Amino acid sequence: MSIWKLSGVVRGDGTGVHCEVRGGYQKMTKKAWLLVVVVVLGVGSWAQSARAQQAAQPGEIEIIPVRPNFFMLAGAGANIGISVGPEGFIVVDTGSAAMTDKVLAAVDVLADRFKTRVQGTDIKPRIRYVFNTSAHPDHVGGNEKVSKAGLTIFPGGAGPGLGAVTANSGAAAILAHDNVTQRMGEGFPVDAWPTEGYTGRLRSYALNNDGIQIVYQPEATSDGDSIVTFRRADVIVTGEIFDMTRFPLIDLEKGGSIQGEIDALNRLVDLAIPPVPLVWLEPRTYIIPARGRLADQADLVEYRDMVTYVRNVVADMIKSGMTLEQIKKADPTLAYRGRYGTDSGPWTTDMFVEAVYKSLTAKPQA
Amino acid sequence: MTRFLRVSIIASAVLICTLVCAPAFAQVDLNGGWQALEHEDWIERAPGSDPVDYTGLALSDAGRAKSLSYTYAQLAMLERQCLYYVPAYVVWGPQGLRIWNEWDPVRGSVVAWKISAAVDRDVITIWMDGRPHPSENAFYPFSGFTTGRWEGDVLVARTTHNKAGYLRRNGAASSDKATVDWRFIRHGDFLTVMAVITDPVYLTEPDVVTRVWALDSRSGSSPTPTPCVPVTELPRIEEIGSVPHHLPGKNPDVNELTQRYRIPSEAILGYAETLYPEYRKKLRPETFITQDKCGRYCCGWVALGDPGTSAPGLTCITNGGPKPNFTPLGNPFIPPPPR
Repeated sequence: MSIWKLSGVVRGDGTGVHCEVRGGYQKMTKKAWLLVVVVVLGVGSWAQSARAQQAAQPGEIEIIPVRPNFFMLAGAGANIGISVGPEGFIVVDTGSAAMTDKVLAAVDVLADRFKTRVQGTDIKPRIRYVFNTSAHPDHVGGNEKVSKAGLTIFPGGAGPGLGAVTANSGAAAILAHDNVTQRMGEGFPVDAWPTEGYTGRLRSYALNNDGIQIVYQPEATSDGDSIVTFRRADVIVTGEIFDMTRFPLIDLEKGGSIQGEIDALNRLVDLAIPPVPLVWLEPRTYIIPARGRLADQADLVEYRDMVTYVRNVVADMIKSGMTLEQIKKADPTLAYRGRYGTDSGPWTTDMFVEAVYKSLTAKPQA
Repeated sequence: MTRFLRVSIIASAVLICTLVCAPAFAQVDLNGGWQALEHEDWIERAPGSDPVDYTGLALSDAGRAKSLSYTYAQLAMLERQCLYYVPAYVVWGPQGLRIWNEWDPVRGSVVAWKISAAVDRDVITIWMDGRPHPSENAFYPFSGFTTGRWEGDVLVARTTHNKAGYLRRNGAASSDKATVDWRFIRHGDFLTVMAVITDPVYLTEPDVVTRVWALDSRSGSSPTPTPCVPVTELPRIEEIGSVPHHLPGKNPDVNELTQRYRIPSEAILGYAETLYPEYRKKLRPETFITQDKCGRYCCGWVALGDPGTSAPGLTCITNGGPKPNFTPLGNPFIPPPPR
């Protein structure tokens, strides 16, 4: 008798489990047939349990759809926002240096999805612009490779001479606040630096049929924070200001302050549109935080309230005459430590409390 | 084909079908309008728990700190007025339910069960088609994300992707790391819903709540919520950045239940130990004095049209008048003892 011999391949891709079954006729013994039954049932059970799998493994990039033409790459150090449109990809932040190859692989997955066929040839969208929200290595680590994987929008970029200079040698342009460029001068290669630095309040671009604004947030987590708003897609990329995984990284030495951070969070709350009045429907502003899950105004309000509360608690303790050590011991973050705090890694709860304390007790500059 | 092979094929077919088709066989019909039986924990569900009443909750230190920071003034914040409660509000809110299912038009199987919204809670969709829960990095909607399966006649479901919210309307905290394990059990015309809320941030032990609804074909529960528009309630906190809260150790309501009911503060503040019967042995007469008469919430939820009816075993105090003394909400009002 001829029966199917099955070879199963089960793989998870973050959105579900796919089974490929390849078949071929072959003579099989009774024992082999029974083995097949056991294997099939076993694979079925495994597949059932695999359905409960959640986020991608550490070290992997996950593509989270935000809008039909907007995506969040999670797991790259800091989250990356990607707008897709007629011009190609507009990328907000480039992740950490260690993850750049995987980021580019994820971008290529999107490029494959959005390719168009012209006269028998596949045309894939290219990275055309990079916006940086700060000089933090998790946000700019991939600048050089991501930029060079892209294509300038300026003509003459591939040629020699002045054309190469004005067009970034053919690579996609990188835009950030001028303070980011200043900070990146300390430790990043020239090719990773922003090619366009802006000063003042903001810059506005019309790309990918969207209205894009990169808006400066002074003295927030540093002196170089920007948020990037996509008006048509209704998406905001917050940079370090809003982090779903930890207390905000307020870098006092690089110009950050607790009040600037709260001011920036309040501006974000103002800019984000909640799903009001039809709260149960989809339309709302989506917010891509520095790290962690895709969010909306409700999540942002929770975070803003948390930072404001901790600021107020520390301020009250200072007012009562407590020292920094006494304040740390009293744990002003108790209500949120289990959600956002950590005792290890680059940004511990103690470091956050110390930053809040020093920011509140700093003498105003003359 | 040998007899062995025939038997093996039939046995395998039965096994595979059992594995794949079992959920479709055992579905109890949950469709219909279900009226909330409000006498069950009605204080918590209807008027809402008193401020700083965390009795029956196993709060972590962080949960207690977050809950004690809560002030009702937060409800007046423009940004918070239209925020929905989390899905577990099904069991601690007052509303009735409308439940319906959605079918796969080709296979005829149930794709999802839907639980109607409330004024301030989203529709809950219980996916029955075996789809996986989304990534932890995906968006967390007000409805959370729920999948279910039948275990015998019991619909078993799990909700993840909850937003941060509350376990009670008095601000008892719930984090976005919380999950809810549900059991929907129909007994004739009654529906029991059990919710086991696990929160690694704000609870040290799960919060287990059961509630009962009665089938009511005239139930007017709307499948969708009502629109919400924020309005200026307190001009002083309309200014962006104003976040009302209590500082640690400064919640003015922390002793209210102790003064009103003589309940020790450790029982009010939601320590796990106080959930268990053994805790009664620890209660000292000087800290817990059973009151000889009921001074509050003795007369049923009179707002529902039952004025003056005492709760079982208790006498409704009418303050000497022919009818109970009502607040605008319809509850007998006896002022709390002075602080």
